[in-house]
Amino acid sequence: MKVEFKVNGKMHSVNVEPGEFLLETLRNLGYKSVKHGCDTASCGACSVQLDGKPVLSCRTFTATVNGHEIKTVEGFSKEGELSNIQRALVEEGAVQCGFCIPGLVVTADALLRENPSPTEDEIKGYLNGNLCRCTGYESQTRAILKVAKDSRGEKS
Amino acid sequence: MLSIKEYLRPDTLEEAYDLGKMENTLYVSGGLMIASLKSSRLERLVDLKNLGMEEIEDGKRVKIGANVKLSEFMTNPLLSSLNHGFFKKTMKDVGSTQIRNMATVGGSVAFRLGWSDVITALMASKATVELYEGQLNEVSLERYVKEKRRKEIVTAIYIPKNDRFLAFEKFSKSTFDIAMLNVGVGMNIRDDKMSDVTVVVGSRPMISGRIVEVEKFLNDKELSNSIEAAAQLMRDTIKVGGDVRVKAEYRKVLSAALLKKAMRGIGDES
Repeated sequence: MKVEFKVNGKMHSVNVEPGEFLLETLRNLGYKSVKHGCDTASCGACSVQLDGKPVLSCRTFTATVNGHEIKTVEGFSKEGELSNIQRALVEEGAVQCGFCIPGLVVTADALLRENPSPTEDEIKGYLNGNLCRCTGYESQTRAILKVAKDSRGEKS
Repeated sequence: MLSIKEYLRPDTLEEAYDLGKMENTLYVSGGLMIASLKSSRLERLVDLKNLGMEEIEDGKRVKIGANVKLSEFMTNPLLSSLNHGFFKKTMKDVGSTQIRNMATVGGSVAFRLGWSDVITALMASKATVELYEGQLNEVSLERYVKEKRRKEIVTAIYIPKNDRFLAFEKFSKSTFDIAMLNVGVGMNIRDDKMSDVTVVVGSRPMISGRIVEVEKFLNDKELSNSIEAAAQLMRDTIKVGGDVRVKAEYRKVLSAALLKKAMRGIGDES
C-alpha cells in the first residue's frame, strides 16, 4: 500500500506492506538513528516524534502515519552543528554507548516544548520510557536541566 | 512486521463495523496491543482513526471519544481536573510518555486486559462504555468487561461528573511495567463518613472487578477508623491467582496494603 509522510521536513512516498512498522520503514529509508531495541514497547530506543509527540516507531504501523510528520534525531543537527540538547548531552558526559541517545533526544525535545522549566522529577517522569544501561540517568537529567536553564537565559 | 493481507481505513462507523465482521479481522486504534500480537491467523486490520471519536465533551457527565489518547488525561484542562485531579495523577503511572501518546482510551477498554490500569481507574469512577453494534448502546464498564461480545466498536467512555474522591495504587517492578496488582477506590466523604464507595482490584491476574464485600463494609463508616479492618477484610475475601509475575498469596497481601494506601490518600486529600 502507498503511504505519504514527511520525515524531518522531507516528503516521502513509499510502498509498504500492510503490517509494516514505522521503525522498519524509517530504517529502510536511511534514517538509521532510529534504533531497533527491545521490540516490546519497553526501551524507547526507537522513539521518534509523530506530529511533535514522542511515540514508539516499533509499535506504530506505517499505514497510520499517512499525511503526518515524523522527526528523527537526524532532523536536529544543522550542517553538522549539534542542537542544544545534543550538545548538552555531550558536555555532561551523558553519551556512553550512545544506543539510547537518539530516542532520548527526540523525547527530551518534546518535554522542553511542553514544559520549558521542568523539575528534576518531571524530567525523570517524562523520560521513564527511555532506558539507558550506561549512565544511570544523572548526567542526562543534568543535561536537560542545563538546556532548560540556558534557554531561560539563566546561568547553569 | 505483522504478516497481514490488508490494512483498511474506513470513513464511517457502519463501514468499519461491516468490515470488522469478516473472519480473522481486528480493529486497530492506537495500535500498541495489535502490534504485539503473534497470531498467524490475523489477516486484516480495520483502522478506526478516520472515524473521529476524538471529542472531549463537558456536560452532566464527561464524554471521552474512544480515540482520545491517554496523554490527554494529563493535559486536557477538563479531564485533568476531574475528581480533584484524579486522572492526571493516575495516568502518570500508566505506561511511559510514548505509550500514553499512542494508547487510546477505547483500545485500553476494548481489549479487556486483566492487567489494565485504565480499566481499574475508570471502574472506580463508575464509568460507562458506549458501543456500536449496528446501533449505539451504553453499558457500565463493570458489565462490559464481564460480557463476551464480538466485533463491537467502543465509541466513547462516559465519566460521571461529581465530587467523589478517587485514588489509584499499583505495584510493579518499574514505573511502567505491568502491575502485579492494582487498586482503585472511590467514595463520597463528609465529616469523615464514607458513602457510595467503590473498591476495584485488577491484575489479580484476572480482569478488574469490584470487591462488593469491602464496599458494603465501608459504606456509612468513618474513614479514619475503618482502614485496618477494611484491609483485613480485603485480604480475607479477595479472589486472586498466581502467575509468572507473582504468587497468589503475595497478591492478597498487596491488595490489603494498596487499599490502605489508597484510603489514606483519600483521607489526606479530603
